[in-house]
Amino acid sequence: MIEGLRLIFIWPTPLALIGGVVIGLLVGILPGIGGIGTLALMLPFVYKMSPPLAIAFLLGMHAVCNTSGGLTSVLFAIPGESANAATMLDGFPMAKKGQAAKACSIVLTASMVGGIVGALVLAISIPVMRAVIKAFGPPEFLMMVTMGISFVGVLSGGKPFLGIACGGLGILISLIGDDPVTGTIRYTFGWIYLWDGLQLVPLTVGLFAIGELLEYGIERTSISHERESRFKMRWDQVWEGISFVFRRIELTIRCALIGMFIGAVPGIGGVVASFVSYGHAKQTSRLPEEFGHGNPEGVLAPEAANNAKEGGALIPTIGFGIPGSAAMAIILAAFMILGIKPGPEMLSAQGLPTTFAIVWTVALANVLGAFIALSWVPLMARVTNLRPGILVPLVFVLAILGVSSRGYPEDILMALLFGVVGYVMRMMDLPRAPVILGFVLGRLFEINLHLTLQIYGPSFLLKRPIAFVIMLIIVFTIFWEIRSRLKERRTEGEA
Amino acid sequence: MKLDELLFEVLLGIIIIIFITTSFYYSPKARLVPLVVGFISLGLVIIQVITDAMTGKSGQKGEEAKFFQSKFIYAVLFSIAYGSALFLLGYYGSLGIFSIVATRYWFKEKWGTSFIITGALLLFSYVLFVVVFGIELYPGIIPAFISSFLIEE
Repeated sequence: MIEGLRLIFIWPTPLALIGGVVIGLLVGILPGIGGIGTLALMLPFVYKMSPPLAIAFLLGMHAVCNTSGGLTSVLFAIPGESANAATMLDGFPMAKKGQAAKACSIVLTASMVGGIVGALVLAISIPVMRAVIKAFGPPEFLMMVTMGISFVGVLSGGKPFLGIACGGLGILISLIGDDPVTGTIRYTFGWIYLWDGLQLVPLTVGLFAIGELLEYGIERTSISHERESRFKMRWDQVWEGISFVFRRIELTIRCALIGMFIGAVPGIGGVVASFVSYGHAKQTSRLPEEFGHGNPEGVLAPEAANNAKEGGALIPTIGFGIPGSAAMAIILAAFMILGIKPGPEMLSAQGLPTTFAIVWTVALANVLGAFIALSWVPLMARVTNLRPGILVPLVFVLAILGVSSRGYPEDILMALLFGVVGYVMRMMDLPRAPVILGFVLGRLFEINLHLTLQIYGPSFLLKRPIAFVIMLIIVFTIFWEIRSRLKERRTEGEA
Repeated sequence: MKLDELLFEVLLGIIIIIFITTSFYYSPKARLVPLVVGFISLGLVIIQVITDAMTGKSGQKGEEAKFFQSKFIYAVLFSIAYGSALFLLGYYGSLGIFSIVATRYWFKEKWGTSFIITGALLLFSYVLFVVVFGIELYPGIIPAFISSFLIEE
């Protein structure tokens, strides 16, 4: 363990770590550019680096991408990474209430704690996790995906049935384009642009960011309506945010463990991790009715899970050479370039220093990233008070930049179309998050449904106990939520 | 229940029905997920409409509804205008015009502020895409026509 730490501190490795963290923070802010794209861009540079140097640079960069992505979710309702979409649900309403600095500070502190928890668990769990990961097959993946969509559908907004239906719509939209199972081209109506399917960034930026921007543009207002915060650097809110995370340390660790576990299951991804944690926080909160209206716990939970999942995703990557996510596939490629062979060798006496260097990098990058970004939080929070004449064009261009990363003008058109849809849904207070989640998980749902039916048949739940237990959790949660919502509405009706 | 909410739910139902009916043109394997997800979602939308009707609240006030409609028209008009400008003038042209029109005419900023913001945004876009990432952004029909005409000359 000490040897791993020593490797990280051999000059110029700390410099590479700092460089990676700064790039990661900057990239995370730009929607659409994304951590995966930047990892791929940086891959050629690692050829001439030593293994510790390359690990510090790449993992340092990747570990904090989600951290700064959470900041744009709070400030502008533009998630830097798709996994930051859940943060937006309560982070942006907090910014509107003039608590942007507090929300950003929660994002950074929870990310830091989550990242450290993820790294710690990574250090101790590689041998243990092998059995757990092996127990997960297509039926369990299918149930996990269903759980993610139905939880978010039920928990966001006041209409549980409509919430799940919106999740279903998200799945249907994700089916546009090439069918991964049969190769059939579906729902393109002769438009070649749709053959590749709709892209996540135009959908997310349209539904959330452009939907919000249309509101500010038409109303000619700033994000925050709190005038007093215009002239103050809100250090008080920063401390409030930090202390909030430590006062809710139990929830932070629980959400980090959820994120870590989901991250360790290859193919599920950070979006499910953050939304499942969000659902967990809401279910266990003393003020569940405040979720969606600026409850700080709704910011803490997804961010803790988000950064912890990186530690989790490294478990199958290091332990078995199976990448836990798309980003981990690139990290794996980097390992191979560097001559690092993932698998049992990483747990041998020779491989352990490298393994611990990875653990230390993830932990240190999260601490470093949080401290660098925290120093800028009061200044960043003031952005929410900018005059709309400056704010709207700035944020609009940021949104369009993210959408344009493929260079297709149709992507911008799609973002504008979904912008109008998002604006209408916003005006009617309808849930937008389930659409995004359904879209993200749609393909995974389809592939795993086909595999499950082929391998186990329609009675797969009787043959796979873990899948059965997950299904029971889904049914119980949906039933419980619907029952409580109907009760609430009846009480409101009587009043 | 509110009329606009009902309209949205009906519209959602229609979109799902389009997905379901179109899926019958595909092979049984390719239509499995659209049918499973489509029918479940449609069922849930219907249940939601019934639930809303049973526990319904009073309808939306006329003036409020008109206000929402006018805002909706603004949003649609903006999207159409920006989309058309994008195809005609390209990425930079549409961005520049949007920035000037928005800052100077819609938000009543000073000319100086308007030009500084527009210049900074265009420069940032150019550096990020062309210099850093090497991505060529859509040039637009009119600039492409003019440049091809000039090259021929």
